[in-house]
Amino acid sequence: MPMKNLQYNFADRYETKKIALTDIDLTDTTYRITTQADHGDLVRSITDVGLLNPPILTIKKPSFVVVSGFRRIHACDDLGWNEISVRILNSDTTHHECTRIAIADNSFQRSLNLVEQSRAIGMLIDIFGDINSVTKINSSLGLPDNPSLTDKILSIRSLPLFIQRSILDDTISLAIALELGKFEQKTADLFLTIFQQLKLSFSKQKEIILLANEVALRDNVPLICILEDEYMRNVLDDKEIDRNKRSDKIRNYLKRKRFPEITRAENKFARNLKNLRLGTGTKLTPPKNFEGINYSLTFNFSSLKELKDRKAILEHLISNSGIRKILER
Amino acid sequence: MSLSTLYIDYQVADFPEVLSIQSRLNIPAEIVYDIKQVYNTLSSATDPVEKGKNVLYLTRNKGAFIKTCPGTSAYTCCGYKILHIGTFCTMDCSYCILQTYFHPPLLQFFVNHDDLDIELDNLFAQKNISRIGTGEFTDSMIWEKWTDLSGHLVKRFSKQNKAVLELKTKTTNIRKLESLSHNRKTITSWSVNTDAVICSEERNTTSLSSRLKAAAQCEAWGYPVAFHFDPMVIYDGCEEEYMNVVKQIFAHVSPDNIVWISIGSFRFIPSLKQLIQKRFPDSRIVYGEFISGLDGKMRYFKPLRINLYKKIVACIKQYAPEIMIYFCMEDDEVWEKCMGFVPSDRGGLPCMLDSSAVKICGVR
Repeated sequence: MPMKNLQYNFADRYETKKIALTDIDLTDTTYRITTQADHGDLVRSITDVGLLNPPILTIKKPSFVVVSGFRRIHACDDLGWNEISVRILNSDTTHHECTRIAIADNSFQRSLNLVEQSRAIGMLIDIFGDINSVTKINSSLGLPDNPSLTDKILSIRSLPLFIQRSILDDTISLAIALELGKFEQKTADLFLTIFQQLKLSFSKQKEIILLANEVALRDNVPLICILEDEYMRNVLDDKEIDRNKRSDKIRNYLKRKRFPEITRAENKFARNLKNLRLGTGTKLTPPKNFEGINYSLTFNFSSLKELKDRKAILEHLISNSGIRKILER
Repeated sequence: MSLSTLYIDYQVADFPEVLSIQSRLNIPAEIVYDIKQVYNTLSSATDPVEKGKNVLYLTRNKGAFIKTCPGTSAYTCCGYKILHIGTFCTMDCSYCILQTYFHPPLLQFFVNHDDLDIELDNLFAQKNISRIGTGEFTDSMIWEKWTDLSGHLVKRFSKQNKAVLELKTKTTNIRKLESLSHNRKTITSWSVNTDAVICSEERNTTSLSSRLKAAAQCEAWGYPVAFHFDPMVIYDGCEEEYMNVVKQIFAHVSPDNIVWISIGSFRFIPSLKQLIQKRFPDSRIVYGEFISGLDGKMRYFKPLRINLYKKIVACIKQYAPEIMIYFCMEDDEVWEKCMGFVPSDRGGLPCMLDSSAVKICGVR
């Protein structure tokens, strides 16, 4: 669909009228963007200062359809109003125009959350058909103007509602939501339960999804089996240990499953290192990923006495068979 | 995989090589005035990588035909030279770096062979021995159906003593090599892998047994041969299966005609992972125990590589104690633990490989 600017004085495009609330079809949510169901705040505001911005409606005989102002109308209904002042768009207003009015009226009053942005972008996609065209008009409607981000946000609308809700309550990020959207509902639900229970940061959520999913793919077992195995359940159910420790246990467990040899080598190095008893002030670092061959030894000291202590540690280290064990790997 | 469109760079449209290729391909041809035209076609495809395998672009090599192998200082490089005859491949291996190496990947063949010949003249005039191959940015033998380049190269290399040409392939397109006078300056070589890996990761390639039969045939025609265990993939039971590959190699060819056997394990630039997951959803190859190597590529955790290499090297040595085995892009620790020496003990890897070329191919 070709794009055109809505270059007109908006005031010329509607008529303000009082109509009966019963004449409004609230079941038609074609233009609904808001995710907020609660309108208690508006009830209080309207009681206090009245209805400042009349909702915008369009005619769809025999009733009216809401373009913008669902919550205001519900609030007035709650207040027991029979009639309400509304702005009724001229009868020649197109669906395309109504859509843009609905988006602009919402997005320039407040920041739209991701689900609302997704709904708005989805409405535009239904009209324009492709991301690039939509992206071009997004900024004029207060929406992101990056095609890749627009595409990601659009995907939210096809995610299950429970994932959308988790974005809204900040349990998960957009990236995590899109990852979860690839899984079966039960699996995604289980991930969300884990994230909610352990209150994991987004980076730790990502790590857990990646590790568990790759173990499942590698071993050709359903992902749900990895998440529901005995160890995972025991750790999650163990309320004796705090959340952070449970989170560490789960991440380490999954890492061990995904990278058994690497974690074994890391643990072996840690054990050998502990046996060296280097104390504080001396640090032995292995080659990154044990790929190179160079180890590094760091000394910290603040006095001559401490430097002498470090020297003694170095001599002890050279003669210690433990260091040979480390170097021979 | 068959070609659907032939694109011809307008600058080479009247080259004899182009007319010859066009006559052998019964597909629509289109003259191209701007390469972006081809790139746009590829980029708009659902799978640009697959699309890049379905079209052939004939053009000139605007850079050098002879390049040095892009090794890194962190690992030991073999000092190989690349004869850059074209790019990409009609076969479709999940692990193939060429999927991400070119942007976008496109099957293209360079037809300015006069320039190629000049560079070969310079190569042959050098004092040092050169080992050069066409199988780095493409498979050496996929072009046999449409071009006569291999024949031309084999003849050119046969008339000098300073360089060996390696034709590395996963195909069995060897028929045209039979009648050529090669003077043992062309090495026919095959990438080998276990049946399991070939079946799961090497789409549209030939079976191991077909490759080995082709190697045996080339050996019978007097060609020196080589084998490349690369990329080795680690999975349950892989050691036994790789040892079986070794066994099969020596059941088909004599160690006396094998110039070298290379060994390398699967490694990849990080961006290849997503591409493999997308294009080969059934592949498990990216779920091994990889770490980020010293060159930024993902590699199997070193002890795992060493463990596999040790077994394969020991197995090869059982059949052919004197054979030249080398690691592709590994460090001294791997060499020492698997071979019992490091390349510098023997003059360096390039020198070791040159010596093998002297012994088996007669370069000097």
